[in-house]
Amino acid sequence: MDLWVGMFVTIGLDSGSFWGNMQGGIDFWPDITNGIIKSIVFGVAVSLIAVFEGYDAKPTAEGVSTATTRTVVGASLAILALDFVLTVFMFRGAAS
Amino acid sequence: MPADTIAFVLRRVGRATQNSISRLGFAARFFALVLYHSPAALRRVQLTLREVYFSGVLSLVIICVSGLFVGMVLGLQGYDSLNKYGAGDSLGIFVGLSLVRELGPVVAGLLFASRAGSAITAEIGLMKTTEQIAAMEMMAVDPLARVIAPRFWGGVLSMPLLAAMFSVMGVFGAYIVGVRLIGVDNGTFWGNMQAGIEFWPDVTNGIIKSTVFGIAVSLIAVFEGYDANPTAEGVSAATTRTVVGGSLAILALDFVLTVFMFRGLGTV
Repeated sequence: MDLWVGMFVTIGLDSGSFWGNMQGGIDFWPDITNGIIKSIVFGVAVSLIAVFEGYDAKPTAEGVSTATTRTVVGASLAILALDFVLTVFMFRGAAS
Repeated sequence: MPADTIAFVLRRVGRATQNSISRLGFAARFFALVLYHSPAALRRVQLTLREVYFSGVLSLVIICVSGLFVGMVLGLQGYDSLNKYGAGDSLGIFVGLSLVRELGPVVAGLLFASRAGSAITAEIGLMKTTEQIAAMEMMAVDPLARVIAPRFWGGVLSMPLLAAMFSVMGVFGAYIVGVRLIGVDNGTFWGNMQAGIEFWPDVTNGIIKSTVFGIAVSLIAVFEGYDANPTAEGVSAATTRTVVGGSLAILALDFVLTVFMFRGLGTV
């Protein structure tokens, strides 16, 4: 794997500084927990949209296919919009 | 492990491998057939324009709103990270480069695969379920020229335009957050962006990428629809396969294209 990747893309960053900087710069409290909170909120939103659109779909083949498309569109928009709102609230006051 | 368990596992691996290889071969022949029937389809340009409307114009809302939000988040998080190194003024070039090179084509492609791609697969699959495709063949109308090729070319044509719209909306969103909300200087934002983004390597490579993604996603969508089992379950499974396969194809092709495009520039 390493050899294969190395054949095509090697930038040659120092391994120690890569992992060390990552450990030094990422904190458990604001960064990882906020990521977990975000993903849970997205999970709630997407699952709700999916089950609602399925329950609400017209009981024909076209109706189901329209509902699937509506699920994808609505869920993607909900994720991106919620992401912006959550980011504003989470990281705006972090003063980083 | 007992011998028949090993045989069972080996048989399943063998069947899966054979299935995927024969599907790959079928898809390649299907692609060649679509290209062969394309001139006949493109001569009746109304058919293709109708598909550009269905897969391009109807995806415009989701693409624009998503681009706006992605740009706004990029502005927030990018300013946060850049400001740690005192480089908050470079927000414009950061946002512009990441949108034009990567996020524009990739996220627009993923949204295109899930919005337009799944709709194309479901439509063709439903036509097959209701035996409309068989009826066309009975009337000596070639479904490849009448149904498949226009949808393929509609997707190929609309994908680069959607990616461009996504990038534009993203830059606008980053402008709102960076300049209006955080207070990066207006002139610095646009000046840095203009100075740091070149038309040749950056914008053209983004266009090439989005064209390649358009070809891949449209081909996967029409193929899965044409190949679907003509039942309700078959169509829904094909739709899922389109979204999964299209997204994977986009991300994998993006890596390969990025390596070839930006490796020699000394910027990556």
